[in-house]
Amino acid sequence: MMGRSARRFGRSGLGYVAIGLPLAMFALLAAFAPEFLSLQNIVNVNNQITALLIVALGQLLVALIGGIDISVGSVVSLTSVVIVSVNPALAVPAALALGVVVGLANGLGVSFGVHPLIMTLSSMTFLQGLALLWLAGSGGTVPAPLVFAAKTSAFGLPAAFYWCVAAIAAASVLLYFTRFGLRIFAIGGNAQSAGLSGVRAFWPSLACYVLCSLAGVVAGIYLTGRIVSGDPTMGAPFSLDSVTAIALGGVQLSGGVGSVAGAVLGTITLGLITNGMNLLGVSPFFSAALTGVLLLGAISLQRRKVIGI
Amino acid sequence: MKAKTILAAALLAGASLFATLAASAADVELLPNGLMAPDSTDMIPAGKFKKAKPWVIGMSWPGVGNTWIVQTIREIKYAASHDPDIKEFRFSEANWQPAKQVADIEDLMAHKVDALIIVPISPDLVKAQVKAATAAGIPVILSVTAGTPAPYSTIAVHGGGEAFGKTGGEFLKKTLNGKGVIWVFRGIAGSGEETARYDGLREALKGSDIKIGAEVYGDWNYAKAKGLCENLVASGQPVDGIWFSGADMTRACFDVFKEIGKPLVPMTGEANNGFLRAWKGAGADSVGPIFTPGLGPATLRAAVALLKGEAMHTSYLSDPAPITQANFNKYYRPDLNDAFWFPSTLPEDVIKKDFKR
Repeated sequence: MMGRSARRFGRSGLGYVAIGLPLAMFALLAAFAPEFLSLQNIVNVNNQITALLIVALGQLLVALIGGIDISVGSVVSLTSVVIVSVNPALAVPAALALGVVVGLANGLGVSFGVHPLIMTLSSMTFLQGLALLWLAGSGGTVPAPLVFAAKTSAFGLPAAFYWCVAAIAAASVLLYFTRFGLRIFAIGGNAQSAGLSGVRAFWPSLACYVLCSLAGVVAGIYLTGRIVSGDPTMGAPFSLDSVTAIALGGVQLSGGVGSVAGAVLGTITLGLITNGMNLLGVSPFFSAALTGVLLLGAISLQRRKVIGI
Repeated sequence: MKAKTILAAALLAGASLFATLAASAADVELLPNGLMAPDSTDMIPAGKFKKAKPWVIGMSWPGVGNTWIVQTIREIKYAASHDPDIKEFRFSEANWQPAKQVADIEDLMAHKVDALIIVPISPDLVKAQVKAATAAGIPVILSVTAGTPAPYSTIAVHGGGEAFGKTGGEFLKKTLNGKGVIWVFRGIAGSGEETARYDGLREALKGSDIKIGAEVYGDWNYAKAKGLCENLVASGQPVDGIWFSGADMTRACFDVFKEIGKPLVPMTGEANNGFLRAWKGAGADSVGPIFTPGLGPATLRAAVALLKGEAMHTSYLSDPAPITQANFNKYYRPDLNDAFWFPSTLPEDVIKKDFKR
């Protein structure tokens, strides 16, 4: 029983660092930044991390099969452009279709032997160029329902809270309550062993890239509604930030190890760094440096585990 | 007769009121030496945003990446630190990430700033936050590219943009007698300032026979522009002049032409000491549109004036005459390094210390 529990904990990648970092940051900010615990600031943090959380959950799926998707930021940007450029009634379906196409292209490329980094780097560059060709600068009119969906509140809670809950619930159900989730962990742990057990990597891998791109689309829709404007470079930081978030949350980029909770904790850590630096009045240049140090520290302190052998 | 008298009295009263407002606004000089002037007749009445001092002023900056930005931030922070009425100057930088800039503004509002200064990545990206801040009674000073609307702002401070690009375009049109082929070196794709400068160029070229033979994005970066310029020169494409969205790219092309031994063509630059040194060294025919780092302190002065309760115009514009061969020596500082930009609001001793060659 103990052994099973330990294995389960190991597969999640959660450890003292992943759990302790956001808690320590929360405690420090509560102690030293008087406004940190104000309702307004908590709402701000929630609003600020939502898009990254959605993208990080998509990145988690790809990371679990041992892949990486750095095109997801460009998907966010292109989604923003699509939302303000096409007929409002078609904006969301068009953006979702875009996500499926990009995800299929990435998934097929990787399945046919292109390294995930190279495949998604190509997509990232192509999609970023496309976004800039389509909309040279920020602007456009965001359909009112999307602004409402991103900025409204219900039962005293901001819309961002519901977006987060929905994204976490969807990812959790997918990973922990479906065969698809089991297959992802199996493939990421050891694709060869999984294959010998009758689990083929092709379709689950393809689905992971499609779902990651769709996560980028959803994040793009949310962000465009929140900012109330389209922008062709809006998603640029999300590609690497999402990788940073899941890495901080104990997800191993070699595959097979990670959890929804880890992605959430990593995203919160990043969000608290930005919010905390602003509230403490620390030089913004220090924030990026601190993120790098924390990431290196978190990765160094996590023991690499081999799953599936 | 009576109606005429009433009308005359009303006109006189209106004129007096306007004169009072104008005189009051004239007292607030955001930048000296004609570097900035009111750009609208709309006024913010005296006392509207008056608050008890000392104040907390917040500033959201879009990102860093070149020496103009470094100097501008230095000038704002210097001005803030030398104003005894400012208790705290809270500065945040968004690393050119729209979502982070929105978050920064929200965090500054949570910090309960008395006034908010925003230099947006693009005004469209922050309009919801600007609206929220002004609705909460926080005056917002928006520093945006000239010719760009500043929705919901209390005061808009304009500079650069179309006027910058137009100055370079007019110079090329005049120097090339209205005909020829030019190359265009643009900045970072997607940037509002970049697009506005380019629009200014297109506006200047209207009605002339000047054609754009090549158009590239050099990211306002010396190294990238050098590679692009080498490629264009190697391609053998004809060129009679080159328009640049930023002077680091001009310096790169000066160097390429010099290294290859190709005779220089007229090239546009900007008001940077490194560029002026290269301009002088190359013996080039050029022009330096002025985009003063003083725009930063100007936004701070506007915020302070509002908090003091002074009447202000709702819009100001910086569009000074460019540096030309005629006034070159008035600006060029051989004793300072290449990172210095003109004109500066810093005192001479600080300039000599910070920008010593």
